[in-house]
Amino acid sequence: MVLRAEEISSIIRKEIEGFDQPMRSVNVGTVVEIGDGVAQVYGLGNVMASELVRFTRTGVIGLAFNLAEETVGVITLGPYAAIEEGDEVEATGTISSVPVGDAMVGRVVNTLGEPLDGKGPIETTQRRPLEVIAPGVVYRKGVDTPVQTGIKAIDSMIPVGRGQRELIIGDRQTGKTAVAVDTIINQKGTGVICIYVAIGQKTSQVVQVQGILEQYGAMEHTIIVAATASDPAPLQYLAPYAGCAIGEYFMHQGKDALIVYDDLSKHAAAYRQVSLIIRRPPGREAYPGDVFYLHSRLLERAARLDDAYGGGSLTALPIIETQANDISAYIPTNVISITDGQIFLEPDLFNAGIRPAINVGFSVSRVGGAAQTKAMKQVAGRLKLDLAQFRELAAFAQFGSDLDKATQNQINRGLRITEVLKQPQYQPLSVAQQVTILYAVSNGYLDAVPVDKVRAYEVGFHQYMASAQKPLLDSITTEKKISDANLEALKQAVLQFNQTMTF
Amino acid sequence: MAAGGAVARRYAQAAFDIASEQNALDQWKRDLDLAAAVFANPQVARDFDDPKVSEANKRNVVTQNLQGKVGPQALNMVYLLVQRNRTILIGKVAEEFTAFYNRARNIAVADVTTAIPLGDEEMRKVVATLSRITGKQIQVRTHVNPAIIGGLVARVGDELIDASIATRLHELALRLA
Repeated sequence: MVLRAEEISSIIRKEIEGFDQPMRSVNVGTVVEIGDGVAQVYGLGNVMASELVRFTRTGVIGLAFNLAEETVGVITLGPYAAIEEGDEVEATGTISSVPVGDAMVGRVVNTLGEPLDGKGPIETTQRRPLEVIAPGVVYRKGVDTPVQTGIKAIDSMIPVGRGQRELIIGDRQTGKTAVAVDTIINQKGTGVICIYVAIGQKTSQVVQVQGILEQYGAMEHTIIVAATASDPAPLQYLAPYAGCAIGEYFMHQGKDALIVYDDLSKHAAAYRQVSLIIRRPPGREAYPGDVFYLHSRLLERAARLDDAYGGGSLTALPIIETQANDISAYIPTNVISITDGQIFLEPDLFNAGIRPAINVGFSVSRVGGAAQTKAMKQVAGRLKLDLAQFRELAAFAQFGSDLDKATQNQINRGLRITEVLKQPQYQPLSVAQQVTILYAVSNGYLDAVPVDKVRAYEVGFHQYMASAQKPLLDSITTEKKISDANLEALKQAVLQFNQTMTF
Repeated sequence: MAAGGAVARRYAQAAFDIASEQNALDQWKRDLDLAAAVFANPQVARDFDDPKVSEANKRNVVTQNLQGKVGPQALNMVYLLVQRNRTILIGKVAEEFTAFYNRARNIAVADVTTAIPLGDEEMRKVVATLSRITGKQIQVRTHVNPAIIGGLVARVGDELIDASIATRLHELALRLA
């Protein structure tokens, strides 16, 4: 873009002419210590907790974090290298907040809600405070509508409902972000607004996620809040609250929103840094004493509102990265106990080619079952049991000894179910697609298919269903259950397709 | 500025409580200011901080310097500070006492900074305006600082009233940046 000189000068001229600030009266303090993004400020007598303050000389915004008798601990929300001892700090009189509104959708913003994507300013009229108390009992309603992730293993056995908090936990490189991104992609056309909060991640990775979302047309209903690894720790600490405030706006509008916190381990680490610099006493793993509350108050803000209050929802998918599969570390146990279930991803499964690498045995959803569609319940009921029995028997099967027919059948079924639950990335399936293939495998119609051909079978099956059995798929989608007539039609369709397949 | 302030405030509070009971605020303020002036001498401060000097010695020095000049209870307070190795705080105690004193007498100290020295008439106007804003009697400490270019900066406690040209230019610069 070419800078037009006269345009710039005119703006400056307007600024100068309109600049009228004859006198300002502010509450001030003086920086006595500054280091690692945290300033100790003497004075600021009437400052409020979590009030925004401004370093007068540099214009950097800070947040009054620690109100002590003598000094105020201020965390800086911007470049702090230029701040010096003796600098003046002034209170702004406003509590930390973030701009919210429909204009945010499709944008990449930082913790303060400022655009990072170079697509111009964001026109919003409203702001919401970063820290609010979660909706109380009377405002809430039970979870009864599903969030379809489009991933067979999750939607069938670990269903997530709108307003639920479902943890995605696993080691590095096990596909945690992939599950979240697939879920966001699958929300296309459902009216669910998605917010992806990147905390302490590599900037390149954030750009990559944005690229994928754009490629699959999912950026149109998504907001990315990014506080990357190079941002000051205070910004990383506040990013989830900013994302949550943006999501709450949609929830209170009566809409459905989904928020992904990627990831809360780094969030806890950023908070630990801020807390230690401010000299709060360290506890277990050097985290401060209120690290549980840090996450519980954040995740509690996910809710399904009662119809009297608009009936909106905010579903949270927090992500936790474990070290060497240790879910008994401090932060993982904390977040597991806060959330309504977890999706547990394992590197062993990932390396064995089972992707998404979900450990179905350890993963649970404590409330999602109530939200699962009837059709899915009809086919998924036996799935979990079959898989559990398969895992038990598979241990014996490794010895290669003679097995009776029933055991062999069970193992064969298990192998095929495992194969069907594999799913390529960025290819979420509709409910009807999931229901039909899961029906086929759990009723034994794939038992004759060689295990290494199951994938090809599934691809062909979906193609066949979409072309030859479209009315059946539509009927399942609209009825949300498999009626007796449809059950018969589905059975015939599967049998018909099996005849066309040759192995 | 920050360190020790909380401790000094406790001593000042205690002294202030005694002083108000005895209705001797002015006497105490004078005594503490005098004691603070004695200990403001760096050599004195260093000697009193030295653990090799015995406490009896330190007490003697205090007695010689202050007895008769300050009230008996103020002297006791200095002894107490000597005993507890807190003589370094005497200046601060006096400062904090003054703060209590000012609050009780509804006095506020204003630091007024101007680019050029103010005339008497102007100063009266400034004082009148500040006492109207704060609702208190104003004691003015004047400072002259040409760096503010023009206008006036007044600071009463943590409240800053800034009508200087330098600040306005700085605000403008930040906005245009």
